[in-house]
Amino acid sequence: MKDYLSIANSTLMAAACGIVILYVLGQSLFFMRRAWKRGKEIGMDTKVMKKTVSGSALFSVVPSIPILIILVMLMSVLGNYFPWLRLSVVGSSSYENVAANITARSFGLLSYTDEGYNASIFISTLWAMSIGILYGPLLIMFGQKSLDKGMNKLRKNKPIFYNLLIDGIFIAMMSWFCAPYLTYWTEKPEQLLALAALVTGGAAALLFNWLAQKTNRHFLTEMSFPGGMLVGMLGAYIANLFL
Amino acid sequence: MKKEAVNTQETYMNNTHRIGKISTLIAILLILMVPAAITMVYGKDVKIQISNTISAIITLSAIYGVVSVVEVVSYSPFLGSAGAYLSFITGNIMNMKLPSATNALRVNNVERGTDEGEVITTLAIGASSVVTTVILFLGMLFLGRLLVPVITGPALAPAFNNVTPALTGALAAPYFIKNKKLSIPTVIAGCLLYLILGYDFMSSGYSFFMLGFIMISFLCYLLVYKTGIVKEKPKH
Repeated sequence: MKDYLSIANSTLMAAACGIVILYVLGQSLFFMRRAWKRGKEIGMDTKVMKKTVSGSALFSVVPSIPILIILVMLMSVLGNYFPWLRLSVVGSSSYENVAANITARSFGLLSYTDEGYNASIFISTLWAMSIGILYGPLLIMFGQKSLDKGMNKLRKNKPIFYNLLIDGIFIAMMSWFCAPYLTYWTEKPEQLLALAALVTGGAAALLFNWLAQKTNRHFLTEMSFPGGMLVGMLGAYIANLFL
Repeated sequence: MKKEAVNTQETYMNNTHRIGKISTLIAILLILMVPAAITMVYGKDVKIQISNTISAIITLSAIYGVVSVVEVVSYSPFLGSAGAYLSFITGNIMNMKLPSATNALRVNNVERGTDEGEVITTLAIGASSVVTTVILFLGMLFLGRLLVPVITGPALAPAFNNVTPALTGALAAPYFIKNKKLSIPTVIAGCLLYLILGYDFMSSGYSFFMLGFIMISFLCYLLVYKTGIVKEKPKH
């Protein structure tokens, strides 16, 4: 019975989701405006701030595109608006897919695409997925200021330890993210594409940085990350032609 | 003058936290408003199965409660104060907010934890959030139905299915090269864990393993630093 879609695609749902997304958009713009003003107060070059905004905006286009795949998948079952809300606010594509399936299984279905999905399960899904995602924001709300204060104290009183902590955590985190791409192909050969993407992306970023040093062109430093990412994607595309 | 500057920064940061907490609370209430509104209007004609709903909430809370702790502890030092509030409300941290913030600092040669660093990370994360919101809005309207067959088609799928490893490589490589003595053994250790224990096993306890790996790695770094193998200098 698909009549739950009349709820999922209702004007009320559209309005409720739209309000939340507009608020979050407004929050981003508010913080940006505040930071901009602060930047000018402390004497930062507006060119630097403009480039930061445009660089980040440009980089964010490509990684947003794969999220559309999850959006369309979820929209086919959960209607037009709730998946849009979930992927725009707090959630990530991996969480939303898993959360929708876990909720469906709590009702005895195999997955959220199961035939038995109905209005009761849909409303419960709204609650479960909304509550399950709140822990990050709640922790930040209660813990961010103390965490911040602690880190600042450390930075002032023990700068070398602080640098080791920050550099160390970042390197350990990046190594952790890289490890599956470097090794999963030994279990599933088709994952060689991920390896190709990782390695060519990394090599391209290094090349951009090296060229930036040689030519003294700051633009190449700015391009090293988004350019490296695009070259990495191209690396995967080319590797696929050989596989 | 210096004292004045410190006081102004302190005021700015205190206000950042105050505004961050209030705006996050409002966002949380709005998120809960959606199921509440739907339940109020449509719930009377629908039988809500409370025990199944609670069971789903408990399962999701158990998984994502832990994930949230790991993410807050691991990611927030790199996001800046305002950036952390923004990131945890807009999501997609590992694949967008963290890279945006990190790259913006690196490109402008600005250090984390400084006044300039706070401005840079806020602008970068804000811009990333706005762009993603707009693209998802267009996706919901029509872009999704147009682009998805192209992205998932045999021609372009290999490229778009591998965005995350591509950006991970591009982000990580410059840091690895700058800190070879730390990064090479760490990458090898991570790879050995995955090779010995297997991808499925590692995925089953991903957050726990990541937190454990980071903690153990850091203890090892402290050890090699104390022995003088690695030298760390305060950044200028």
